[in-house]
Amino acid sequence: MFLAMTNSSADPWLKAQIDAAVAPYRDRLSEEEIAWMREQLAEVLAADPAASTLVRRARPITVDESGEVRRGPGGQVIQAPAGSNVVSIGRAGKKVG
Amino acid sequence: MLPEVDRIREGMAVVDAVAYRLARRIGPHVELEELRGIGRLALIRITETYDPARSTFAAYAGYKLKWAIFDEVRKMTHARAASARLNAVMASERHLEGVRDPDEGGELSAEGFQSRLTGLLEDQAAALAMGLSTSRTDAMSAADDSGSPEEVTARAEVAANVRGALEELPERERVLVERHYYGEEPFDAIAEDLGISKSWASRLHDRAIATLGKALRDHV
Repeated sequence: MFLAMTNSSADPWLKAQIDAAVAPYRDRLSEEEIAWMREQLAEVLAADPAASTLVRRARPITVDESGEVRRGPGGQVIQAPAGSNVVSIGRAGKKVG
Repeated sequence: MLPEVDRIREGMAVVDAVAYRLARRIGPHVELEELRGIGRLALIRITETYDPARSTFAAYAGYKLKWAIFDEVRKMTHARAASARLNAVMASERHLEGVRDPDEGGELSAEGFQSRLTGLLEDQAAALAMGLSTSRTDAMSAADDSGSPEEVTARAEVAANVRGALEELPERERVLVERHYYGEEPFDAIAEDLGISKSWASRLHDRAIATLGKALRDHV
């Protein structure tokens, strides 16, 4: 049994958080080790209660003009394509990104 | 029915949950059933030391089972790469225990939550990198590593950076990290030896990980 891939690879915002965390080690560890670190971080964010709550609180809310949050089949927020009318707003109500 | 029997029954569910979670993190060299077996054996001892005045049984058993399983898996793990990954996961798990519930301590702004998430991921990455570096602490271990000459050099550099950063840590933090991850001594035994509580040792551990992470990031 091994760590299952979480949906972080299908979630650009989450992937960006993990990419930033492993970036300092990219040229100093092997590709395999970096991939392993990514899997571990994704698992932590998905499975640890405090970490997953933090992800939910930190994640910008993506809405289109109707105010609807766009979510994929797994419940993850879908990022807007470039140039669309969809915007992301933070929890404080300010536009982000 | 005896309370111990009830606790064993309750503990079996905790064993399954902890074993499943650790199997996902530790990887393919240890089977889920093996982890369950270690957990079941440890559970008997855990029911005997449980103090109802201090916490719920599930919380106590979850904590104790996790570290009992880690300690046993560590004894069984001899391959260098697997041993390093195990150290990395242990460092990550130890650090996670100190992470507060984000909803405690008042409402944060979006930026506040983002900043805490960034900090958590930086520290977690540092814990993993530190653990991975424990298999290559000197030129000999780096020299027989697999990979291109560039990769071997880069790995030796990470190991040297970690060792250098370790030297800069305050005495007790350095001793704790060195003895636990390089000397493979049980965490609780080191805390006792240092004359500090387990919770204080955990705080020193978290501080050491944060300092090591900053040193590693500054070395880019």
